[in-house]
Amino acid sequence: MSGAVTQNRAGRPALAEPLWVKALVMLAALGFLGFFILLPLAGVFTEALRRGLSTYWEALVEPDAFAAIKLTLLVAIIAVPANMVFGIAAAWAITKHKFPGKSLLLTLIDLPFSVSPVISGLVYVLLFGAHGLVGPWLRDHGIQIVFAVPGLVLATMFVTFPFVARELIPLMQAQGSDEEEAAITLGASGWQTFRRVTLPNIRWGLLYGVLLCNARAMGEFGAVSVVSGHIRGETNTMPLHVEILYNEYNFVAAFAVASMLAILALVTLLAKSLLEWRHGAELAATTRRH
Amino acid sequence: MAPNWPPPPAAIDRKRTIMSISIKSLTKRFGGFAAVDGIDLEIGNGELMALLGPSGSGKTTLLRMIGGLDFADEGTLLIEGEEATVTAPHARRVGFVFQHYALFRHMTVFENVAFGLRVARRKPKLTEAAIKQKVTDLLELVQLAPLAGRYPNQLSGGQRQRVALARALATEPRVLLLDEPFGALDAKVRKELRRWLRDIHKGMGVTTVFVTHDQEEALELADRVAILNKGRIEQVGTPAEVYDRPASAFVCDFLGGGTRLDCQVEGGAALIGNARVPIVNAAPAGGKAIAYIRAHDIELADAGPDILHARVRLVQPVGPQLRLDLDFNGQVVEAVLDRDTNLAAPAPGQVVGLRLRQANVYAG
Repeated sequence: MSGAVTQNRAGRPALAEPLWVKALVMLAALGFLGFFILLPLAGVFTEALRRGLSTYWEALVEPDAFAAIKLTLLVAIIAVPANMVFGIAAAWAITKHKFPGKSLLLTLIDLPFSVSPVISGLVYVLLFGAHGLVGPWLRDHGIQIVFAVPGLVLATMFVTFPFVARELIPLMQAQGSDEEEAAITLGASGWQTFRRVTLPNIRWGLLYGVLLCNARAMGEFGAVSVVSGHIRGETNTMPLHVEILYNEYNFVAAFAVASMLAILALVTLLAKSLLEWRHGAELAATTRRH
Repeated sequence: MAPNWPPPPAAIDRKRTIMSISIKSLTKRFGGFAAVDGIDLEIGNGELMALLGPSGSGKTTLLRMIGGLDFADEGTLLIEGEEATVTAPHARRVGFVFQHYALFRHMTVFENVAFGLRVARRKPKLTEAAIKQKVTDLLELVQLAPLAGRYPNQLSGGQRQRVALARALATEPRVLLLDEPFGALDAKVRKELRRWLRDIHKGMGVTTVFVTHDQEEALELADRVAILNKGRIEQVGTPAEVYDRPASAFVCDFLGGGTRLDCQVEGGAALIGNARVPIVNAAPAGGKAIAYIRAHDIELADAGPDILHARVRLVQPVGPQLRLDLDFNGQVVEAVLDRDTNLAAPAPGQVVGLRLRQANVYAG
């Protein structure tokens, strides 16, 4: 009976497209994906391995390249957790509470997305540089921020600021605060409510935000380039090191380091897929609205 | 002197009559708007109380203030004689059942019910075995034991409501608060759950306050009903009291007041057209007034004194009843007749004689 309603005269469900339309749409999507994503990715690895595995390996363990890899990871390890904490706090404040200046805070969170990364880097130079606002005071106290690791961390944090908050705000808005209120009436403290109710409800969104944040933190070029000073082996992150090597016509080494960046990105994606696969049933049970 | 023990009867009585919830001139404003406007209400121990009113009447805000989810701007609230106006919700020992259940979506039914026991600040903590025992007992009570391992989104609306109730009861609250408990359920489930909630209330004896906009639900379920309008209480009483003697036009209208007709009060009766209709409530002494006539207080009559004539607009058989829409001088009058005793139903367009048995009359 319901078949009569959903199928047209040719016996096809009403919403099904003809075969050739399906094929065309799929081909377009796959073609686009292959040409713009898979092909460049493959290109990076072929270029990196052009002179064989040993040359590739040497390019990676070369002291400056190795230092760049270590520095990139260090910056990410500091910036990502910091932004995770900030992102949760901001999303919590915005979605669960009313306060004056809320829309201003929302706009400010978006600022790093709308401002060119180069400008954000320049701001830190103007603030903390030798001729900057607090630069002389910092120099007198022996604190180096610009052209050192703290500057890199600050610039990276600024650029990756919105990722976690932006991921969580719509999710937490959709979930409302009913469950938190229920937890409180059942005797839970604020911390218990957060840890046992809020956090489990947002963990998948949070994971996704953190992964995006991490990808950007490791790959950031513009803002980091301004505050880095490009001191080889000291303040060069991987993207900066790739550029230097490329400009020196050292293509194999450049692509080797680039491939390392690509591998880091692929590993984070793989980690996400693994988690989704392992907790698939729970994910399905908890993300649908009820 | 009499010995101190046993205590004199007066002392026992006083203890017994301590109100479970005592509310004095409680006020809550949102911006300039008073959602709850100086409400006084006493709710006795073990009582099942309904807060009834249209949306925006302040009933949910009042319930949330009792539960500690909103705080009053003025007035006081005592729970079992203890000051609780600004007490944090977790210290009040109240159970709250939310309109949309607010079950923890990432927890199984079992963990939802166990939540209040796990976060309790009592020392020593309950053992895992004790928690399991208690949760199992509660799930038996709400007839959901086989579904302990399910997630909320795998349950029907009625099942979710019962989980929410079991969860609220787990912490042995002094007061159980329910916000529109059956609002989101279909008619059949609603009826079942109503009976079931009354049984549970009878069995446990916990003071219960529930909010509803459904007058039938309030009258059927509650020991007493408080009718709210624009942040104030219009009337408090047993279901029979508020239905039989509505204190205001609003209450009468809200509790199925029926048809509203202009009348003239003369000598203790309402004069509608040429018919004198007995007044049941304390009506104004004289002059122009508004009469409310309930649909089942109207009967068809061919001849006799105090008969009104109206034209039949619509005849609608509904189950055992026959519903009539009648046109009386341009006003629509609704009447409900028994189908069995009115086999010869009037046809639309026909002019019929009506006798109005009684009216509630209020100043216009």
